[in-house]
Amino acid sequence: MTTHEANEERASPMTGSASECNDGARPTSTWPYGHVQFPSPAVSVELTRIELRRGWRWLRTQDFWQLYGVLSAIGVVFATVQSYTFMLKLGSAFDAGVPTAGLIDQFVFLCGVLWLFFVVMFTLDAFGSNGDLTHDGQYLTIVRLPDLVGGKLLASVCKFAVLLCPPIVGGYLGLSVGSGSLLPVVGGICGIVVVLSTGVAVGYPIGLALKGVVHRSTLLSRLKPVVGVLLATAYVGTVVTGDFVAAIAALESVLSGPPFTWLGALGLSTTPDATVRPLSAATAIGVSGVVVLGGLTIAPTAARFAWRATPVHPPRSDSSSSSVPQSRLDAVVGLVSQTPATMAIASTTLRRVYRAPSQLVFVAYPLIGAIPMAEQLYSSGTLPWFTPWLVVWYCAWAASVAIPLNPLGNQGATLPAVLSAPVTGHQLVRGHLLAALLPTAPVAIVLTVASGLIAGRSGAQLSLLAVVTVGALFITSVFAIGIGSAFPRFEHVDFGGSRRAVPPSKVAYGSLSTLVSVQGMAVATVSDDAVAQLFSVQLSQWLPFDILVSAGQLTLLASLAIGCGILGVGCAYLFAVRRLGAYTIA
Amino acid sequence: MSIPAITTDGLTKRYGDTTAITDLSLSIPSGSVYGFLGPNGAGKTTTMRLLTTLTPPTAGAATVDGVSITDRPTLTERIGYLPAEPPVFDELTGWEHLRHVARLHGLSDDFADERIERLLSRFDLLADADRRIGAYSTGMMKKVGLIAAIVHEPSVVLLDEPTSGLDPRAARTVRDTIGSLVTQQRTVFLSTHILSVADELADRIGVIDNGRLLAEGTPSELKQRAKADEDAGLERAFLALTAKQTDQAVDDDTRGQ
Repeated sequence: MTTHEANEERASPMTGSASECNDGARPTSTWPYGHVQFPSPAVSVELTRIELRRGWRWLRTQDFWQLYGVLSAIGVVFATVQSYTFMLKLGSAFDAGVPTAGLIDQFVFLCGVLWLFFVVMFTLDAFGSNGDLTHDGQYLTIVRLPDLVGGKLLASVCKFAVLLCPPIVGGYLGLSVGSGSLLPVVGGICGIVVVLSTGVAVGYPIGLALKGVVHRSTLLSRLKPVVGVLLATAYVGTVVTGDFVAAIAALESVLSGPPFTWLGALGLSTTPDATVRPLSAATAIGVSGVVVLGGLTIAPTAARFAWRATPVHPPRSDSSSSSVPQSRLDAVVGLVSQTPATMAIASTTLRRVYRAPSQLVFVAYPLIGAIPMAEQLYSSGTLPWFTPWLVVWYCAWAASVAIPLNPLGNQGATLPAVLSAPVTGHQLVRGHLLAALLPTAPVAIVLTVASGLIAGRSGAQLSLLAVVTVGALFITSVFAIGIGSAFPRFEHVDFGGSRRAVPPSKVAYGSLSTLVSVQGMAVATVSDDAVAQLFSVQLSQWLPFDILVSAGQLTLLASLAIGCGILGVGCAYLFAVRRLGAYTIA
Repeated sequence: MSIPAITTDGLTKRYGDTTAITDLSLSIPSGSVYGFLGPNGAGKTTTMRLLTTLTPPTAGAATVDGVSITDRPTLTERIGYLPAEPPVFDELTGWEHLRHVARLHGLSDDFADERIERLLSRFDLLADADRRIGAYSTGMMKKVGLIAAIVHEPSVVLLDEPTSGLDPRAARTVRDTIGSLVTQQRTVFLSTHILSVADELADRIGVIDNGRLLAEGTPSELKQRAKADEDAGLERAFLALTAKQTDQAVDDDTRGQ
């Protein structure tokens, strides 16, 4: 019996069923035909209330997720505007009495896509850490499992309602304006309720069941991160190539037929002059009731399947002895540095990054900007001429942000151990630089040269690019450790479950990004005439009072900036050595 | 009379308007166990941080093993420190983490591995040494933290709540380890809430509250001073000493009003 099972067993005699223990103190509701138990609304609402309050308070301390929320909000605003525009057109057509068959078909199709989107969202929510038991299943010693599941479902609905409501409200506002009546809003509210309730009733049990399957399989447990990366890559890839839209379009015949036509009919059932069948709208409500009851019946079973699974762990050593770990990483690091402390910092930093790659999520943002280039490479087999410079910039920036930009915060709970060990500032700095350069330099050279080849650069230019790449990596890493030492950050960001990372501070992140960008542009200007010409033209257009900057002047300025950068590298190194060597905890 | 391993003279630490440690003066002989007792927020951890160079004093001076607490490079070669939260990396295996710490102390791998293996075996962790620390229990993490604090055989070991969260067998191993450190003429500065541990191990005990040292002496002396009989143990003495401080604070507050 697992811990969760035992907890549930212990909980059962306390809570029992309504017929066994209905003392009025604990609200329960029992399916009268057999052993199926439905969630108690009162308990589910209380669990949801606490879950949402915890989530809100957590969000207020998580700047990374706040930024994500802002980006999502921009998407929601965009969807709301689109929804308003489309529905305004539909409402105006109804009001004018013009044929609307095409628009209604489009509306029904969009309803289907929306429903499918939310089913996927609810599935992912249940499959992810939100579908896990908190505090090792302690809740199961207090409430019944169906109540706990009810709380999770309701909390999930509330969270996703934030995403769904603005576009729907915006859309129905447009429909009301277009049709000149407020009645369509009633249909909209019914639509929101049906999409969310049926979406969670279908998606959540699927997500929980998938979680149970993965927990029970050694292979799937081990491959979960790989599968996740493959799915994400496939998603981005299909978006870039346009195959994603094509796949949705291929589903049009399914999403435009029943039961989605019923959902569409419900959405327009209260709109004046909309030629929809009332029976279809009533069927939508009836079917959604069945789906919700079915979901509430299956979800506790799926939750049991997921939570009672004993997670698969790597096999433990049976012997009482353990072998001294042999590491190729240590051997490679040892080729570059023989100082034990420097080796320790470098190899431990790399090992941690490799085993907890979520720490690297902060270097992925700029890759969004690479999508148009990937699209061009896919469609034409070529890359813009400036791509190699962007690759140099990105590799240097990413290597610096990933490792040396938060040398103190990355130590986490071990910071006192590091500071109370006889490690000098030089060793700490060199260890971090080694960790940043050792794995990234070869990869960066390959990427830069490859992009240069595709962009049609000559052999001499490719050699220059390779040299510049190594230099840029080193210089930006030194800058990073200098800036990161001055502005450490110790608060971590949660990614759900036990995955967390300590990102660099915003000041360090912004300062380094600006510095690397300026230095990158300076190096590109000095070493590539085409870049100098381009910047010259652009600056002359932007600068006020008709100030003209020639390519020669720009090259001189860039050379000065590089000179300052070289001086700055020395300063950053010395500052980091002093700061890290003498750092004290407040 | 043995040479003091730890001396503090008027050691004071202020954070803005809050004074965490006030005029702390101690003299702890080498090869002894010094129990440092106090309620939550009394200033025990701040004192440890001062003695391990992690935080600078506002006033006063202190030496550990004859080295000033402002001389970090020299001092860190001679101390081992276990904070209340075990300083371990979840992503590493137990062995990898201990080797990491040994390297930070400048030990060669061959030398360190032999010592790590011996300590892992002593703490019943050898079978789990190849597992990641993230999968360890709290007690196992504590053990790894303790091994990391002594792997380089420091002259002075500062332990913050070393037995909390440990099962009785592991707690016994920790107490035996502290005992063996003392027989090797090492000094142990021990902060704990578990009074029986201090009573059993400490040669001398200091009781701190609100940043001030209230009393100091052998366990017997403290019990005597609190007019507690021997059977009542150290707990009664501790409660009596810290209660006086609390009563005094209440009186001061009342007079202030």
